[in-house]
Formats: sequence, structure tokens, C-alpha cells
Amino acid sequence: MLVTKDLTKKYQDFTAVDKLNLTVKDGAIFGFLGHNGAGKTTSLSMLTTLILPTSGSATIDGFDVVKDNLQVRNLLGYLPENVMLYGDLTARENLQFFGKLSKVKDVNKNIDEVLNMLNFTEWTDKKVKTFSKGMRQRIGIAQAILHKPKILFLDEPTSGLDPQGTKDIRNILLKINAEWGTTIFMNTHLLSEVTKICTDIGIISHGKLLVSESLSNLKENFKDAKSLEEIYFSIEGGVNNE
Amino acid sequence: MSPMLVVIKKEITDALKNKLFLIILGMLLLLTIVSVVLGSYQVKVSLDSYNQSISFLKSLGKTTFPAAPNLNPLSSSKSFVNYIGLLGALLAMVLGNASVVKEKRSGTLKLILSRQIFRDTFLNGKVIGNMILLFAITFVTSIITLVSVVVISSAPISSGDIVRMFLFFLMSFLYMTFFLVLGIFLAVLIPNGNKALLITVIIWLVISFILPQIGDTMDMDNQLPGGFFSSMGMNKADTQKVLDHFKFYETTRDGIEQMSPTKHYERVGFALLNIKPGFEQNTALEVLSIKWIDVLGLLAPSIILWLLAYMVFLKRENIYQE
Amino acid sequence: MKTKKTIFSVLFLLTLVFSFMQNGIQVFASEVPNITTNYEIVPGETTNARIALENTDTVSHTYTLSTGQLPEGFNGYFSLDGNVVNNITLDASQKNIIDFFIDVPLNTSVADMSIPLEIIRDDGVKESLSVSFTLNQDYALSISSNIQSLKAINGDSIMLEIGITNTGNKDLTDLSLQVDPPYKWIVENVDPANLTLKPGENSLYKLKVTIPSSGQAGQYPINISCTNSDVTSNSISIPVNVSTSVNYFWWITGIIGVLLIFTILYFKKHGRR
Repeated sequence: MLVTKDLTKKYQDFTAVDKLNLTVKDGAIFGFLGHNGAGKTTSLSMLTTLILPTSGSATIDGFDVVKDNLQVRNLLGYLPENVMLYGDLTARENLQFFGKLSKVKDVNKNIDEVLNMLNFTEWTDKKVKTFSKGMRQRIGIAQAILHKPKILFLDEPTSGLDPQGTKDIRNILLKINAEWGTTIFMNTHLLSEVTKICTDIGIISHGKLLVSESLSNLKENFKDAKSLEEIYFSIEGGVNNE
Repeated sequence: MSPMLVVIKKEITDALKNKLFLIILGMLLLLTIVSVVLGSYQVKVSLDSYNQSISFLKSLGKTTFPAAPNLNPLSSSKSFVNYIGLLGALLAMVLGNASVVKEKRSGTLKLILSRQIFRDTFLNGKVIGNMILLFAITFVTSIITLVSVVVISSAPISSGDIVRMFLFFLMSFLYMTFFLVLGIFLAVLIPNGNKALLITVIIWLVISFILPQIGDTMDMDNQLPGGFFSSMGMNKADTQKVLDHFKFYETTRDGIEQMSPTKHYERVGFALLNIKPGFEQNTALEVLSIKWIDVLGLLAPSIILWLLAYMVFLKRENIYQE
Repeated sequence: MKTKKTIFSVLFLLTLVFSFMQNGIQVFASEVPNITTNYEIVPGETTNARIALENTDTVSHTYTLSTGQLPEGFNGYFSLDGNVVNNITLDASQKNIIDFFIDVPLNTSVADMSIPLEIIRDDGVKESLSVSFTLNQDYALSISSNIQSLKAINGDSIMLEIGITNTGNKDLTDLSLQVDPPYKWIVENVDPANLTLKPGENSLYKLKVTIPSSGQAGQYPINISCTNSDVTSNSISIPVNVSTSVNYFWWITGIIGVLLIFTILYFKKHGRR
């Protein structure tokens, strides 16, 4: 589904992402881990066609993110970190706008279906500015999946949420993955969530990809580790100590 | 519905919910109504005085009467030039700035640009949506003006006058479009939205007030009340001899004035409204063909800024950050 | 017999004078110095005739002043102490000198005319007086131009030819052209600078007028007349339609075109995003 080859992003003297080589299979839930400033958001921005890579390439379902950007956008859904949406519009109005932009046919029917899936029908006609963070995240996910994308990119989807909110989001993602077969690419630094939801993980540090493996393989390779946290620190710490 | 149309529609509905826009629009409409009603009333008073004089002369048995004064009902729109220069430009700048900055601040710019819409299409939608709004505003004010002039002034208004009036409002629309595009361009160029608006306002001040003022100040004859040359006791022949030595200076002075779209708007507006003498015998289209440089002075900067906005918006990586 | 005739003549005269005095108006011109009933007029100038009016009645009266029909182009009006008046109030036995001004048009075929002036007292009593005017054709000048209108571009110079004719009876010397161009237009090379014309003679002035490059497009008149110490000609107005140089259009369109091409190449290089 997603393949990157030496994907690099440089800002003048600073290398934000350094030769990222990544493969994400169809239907996977990929957790992209890393410390603050590691290059997660930059990588995500390149994959969602929002910024241009300095060098290297990335393809989604065979479409290049630079040359075939419009086709790539047709395949993806995106939820950035801390999205506010249009506060003065209702949930439905927000979704209608984004749905029409995504050329969704019968947008209202899709909105109803998605909101139903997210258990959000009660607040459809309320203004977004009255929503809590958890509710906004749910609407954020709704706009990202309205057009039933093949791959969903999420940047810190549970950031700032309470445990119930985190659990709700997790369940939604699992549902989307299970029912629609949507590949999920998720930036996060919540190791507990990765353990509960992801099938594959990648760890990035200072722009470099340290590891990209299925979770089961990783656990196999680090048999002595008691938790994913230990695995993470041993991989990241080992590199930082070198 | 095409993505551009979606953006256009949203732009219009957003503006109608923008409090600052509605306040400025309210002020503009109020000032327009007041000035055009007062202007029309003045024309009516002049017309009534003339008619009364004619009646009196007829009662004395006179058969030859003085010619009717040149009432020029279009002149009731003269103040509108100032209001558009001030409030109309401000309105357009606020619209332009808000149309981009609100997307950045709400985080929706990322959501939009990760969808099936090219950046240039998105920008087109923003510009066109706001242009539709500005067009609607100038259309409404033109109807208000026409109705006031016809109903209140009772002055005869020909079809040529009506065409002139509508063309004048078209020029007002082009003038506001320049500031709209300027607002959008600077909002795209400068990451901080407030800074972008501040710089837009500074540019407006320079264009609308400072450049024309420099042009006027550099005009030698404006140095003293009553005219520099008259005050020096110089007759026209002597004045000409002096001016003959300042041709380059005059070209420079004119060049500075030409850089101001406000000056172009004023020139073509006054010609269309017959406030500037010498165009009374021309049709409206003839006036535009004579004043083509001023029309171009309104169009060209907008087109140039629009193209620059494309390029900046295409290239900027940190467009999402506020 | 002779004595009887003299007595009858005196009595008749006295009767006439007495009946005249009973009307209460005395309008006379010859008994007061500087007042005459015959004036010389010059084309293009204003002539001042003077009449004396006396109220010989025992009460105050208001007198309305009017003229008969004037020839075409002539304008006549009464003035008292510098103010234009149509009537005057005189106390009993009061006398006043009234000015009668007549504006003479530049081009007139009227050589001699007699204008009746009518004075009507407030009780209807009328008196009239004729004032004669003779046209002084000594000094008369006429200018003309074949140009109906001109077209020019900002920054251009235009050449004008003005025909001039001495339509008077005397030589005209030191004639110079008075050109009133729009503001900032420069008049150059008026040829000849001065002219002398015999009666009936005509000549041609050539002049160059430069339009400033900063001038706005529009229609502007150039007003021209010719004058010397004795006479001023008619004034002609030549409208000049000034348009902006098309070079500006090409420059601006060129800049936009270059920018458009640059934008297209920019998109091609970076891809449409």
C-alpha cells in the first residue's frame, strides 16, 4: 500500500527526515513512534502531499505522492493534530463541506452513515465550537473517512484525550480497519495505544528510521523486554548512545 | 459540484457571518445612502430654483429664458469615490486577509489541501467567492444610487447617464478587487495573519494617501494657496517657460501618481460621473476608451498580484502555520 | 406788425416751455459738458454714452429706463454709480447723470445706428432720446483656423496654423498671438513673434504646442487670440483630444505576459499541487 524510498526532507541546514525507507502493507495499522521533533509530522506531511520531499520518493497504491498528488489524495484521509474545524458551523455543515470537496456522492447519506458508526448522531446539528476535544476528534475522524479512503493518516489522534476518549478513538479505528479494510498510519508517542491497536510499528529518531517491523516480530526480537516501552528505549537509547 | 464551486459557496456564507465585514459593510451602505440622498436633494433644490425662475419670468410675459443649469445628477455619487477609497478598500482587505488566515487558524487548510483540490483552484475559489460578494455590494449600492437620484432629485437622467453610473460602479468593483487580491496575497506570503493584515493596511495607506499626496506636493503650482505661479505674479507665458525646464521632474511626479490605483480610480470615476469637465459629450464607452490607462491601472496590479499569489501559495511549505 | 410777431413768437415759445415743464421730465444732452448724443464705437469694446435726467416736478418720481431693439450681438444697459440699474428715483428738482453702456461685438456689419432710449415716469409720462453710434472701423482684427479638432498623444507636440486678417482701415503693428493653453502645456516657437498688417492684409501664424507626458487623457481647448495696443481680435478655441500613448499598454501587457509565462513555467517545474 505505502512504500517510501530514501524519502528525505531538508530545511536549509537541518534534515528533518533522512532517507526514510518504509513499507506499510494493505490493511495494516501502522504506529509511527518517535520523540518530539523526531520527524513524524514531517513524514506524514510528505505522505499526505502537504509538503514536497527534498529527495526520494513515496508511493501510495502505486501513485507517486508528488507526480500523482491528486490521485493520492483521492485514496487518503487525514486527521492532523489539534484540528479545530469550522467552529461556527455545525458538525453536519462541516462534513458537508469536506465531503463535497472530496467529491462524495450523496454526501448526506454518507454523513449519516459515518456519524452512526462513530456514535455521534446526537450532536449532528450542534456547532463545533461547543464540542469537547474528544468530540472534535471524532468529527475530525468523520471528515477523514467520509469518502471511505484506502489509507487513513492520523497525527497524534489521542493526544489530550481522557482515557474514555482514547478508548473511543481506538475502537473507532479498529472498526474502520475491520469493516472497511482501511490501512491506518498513525503518528503517536503513546506506547500503550500502539500495543493495543497496531499491527506494525516504526520508530524514528532525529529524522532517521530506526526500525520498521510488525509488532509480533519486534516482540520476538526483544524477548527479554517486558514491555514495548523497554523495547522502544532499548532501540532508541541504543542509537542515541552510539 | 466542483471543488472550486464548493470553496466559492463557503466563502460567501462565511463572509456573511464575519462580524467585522458586516460592520464595515453597514457603515459603507449607510454612508452611501446618506451621501447620495443629500447629493440628490441638492440637485433637486437647483432644479426647483430654476423652475421657479422660469415660472416667474413667464408670469412677467417673458418668452426668452436663461439656459437650464448643468445639473449633472451623476455628481451625487461623488462622495462615493471617497467612501470606496476608504471603507470599500478596507472591506476588501479584511475579506482577503480573513479568507486565508481563518483556514490557517482553524487548522482546516491542511484538511482542504489534502483533498482533491489543487492549490491554485483553492485560491481561485477564494478570490472568485469574494469577488462575487464585492460585486453584489457594488450592485446594491448602484441600485440605491440610481433610485435615489431618480426619485429624490427628479432631474432628467438619460440612458447614457445610467450606463455611466453602472460603469462607475464597475470601476469601484475593480478597485476593491485590487485590495481583495492584495489582502489574499499578503496573507499567503506572510505566515502571521495579523502581521499580514497590518502590512496590507500600510500598503493601502501608501497607495491611497501618500503616493497621491506626493504627486500633489511635487506639483509646483500646489506649493502656495492660489497657485505658486499666480502668487509669484507670473503670467501664463512665464509659467510655461519655467515648466519647460522641469519636464523630467514632471514625468517623475506623474510616475509616482500612476503607481496609485486610487488615483486611477479617481480619474476614471470623475470622468464617468462628469465631475471632471471635458467628457460631457462622450458616451460612457468613449470615456472608458479615453481613460483606458486608468482602467488598466486598476486591472493590471490585481492580475500581477494574483499570479504572484499562485506562485507563493504553490511553493510555501509553512503555509499551514500561523 | 413786427412787434406783434415777436410778442406772438415769445408767447409761443413760452407756451412750449411751460407745457414741457408741466410734464416734469427734462432729458437733455447738449447743455451738460461731456454729454453728447453721438458716440464712436469700436468692435469688441464697450462704449459709454451719458444722459442727464432731471425731475422738474415738485414731487419725487421713479423713472424706468429702457432701450429700443438693439442690433444682433449688441448689449446695452444703464448704470448709475457703477451699478447696473433699470430705474432711478429722483427727488423734486434733482438732476442725475446716467451712463448708458453698449457692448459692441467683434464681428458686426452695423456701421451706424441710432438707439432710442425711453424714460417712463412712474405715472406713465414718457420721454425719449435717441443716441447715435458710429462704428470706428480703423482698428479691427480677425483670426481663424481650419482645424476643427486635433488628436494627440501625451508627450507629443502639435503644430497649429492660425490665419490672421486686418479687417480695419488702418495699419496694425506689433501684433502678437495670445495663446491660452491648458495647464502645463508648453507653447513653443510662435512664428512670427510680431506682425504688422496693412488694411485687408492677411498672414499666418505657426506655433508649436507641447503636451506634457504627465497629462491625462481627455479633451482640452487651446484658446487663441491676437492683440496689439489698439485692438484685440476674436478668440478661437481649438479642441485637442489627448490620448495616452499606447506604449504604456504594451509595457503593462508585456509585464503581465512575462509574469504569466513565468507562472506557467513555475507550475511546470514544481508540479501542480
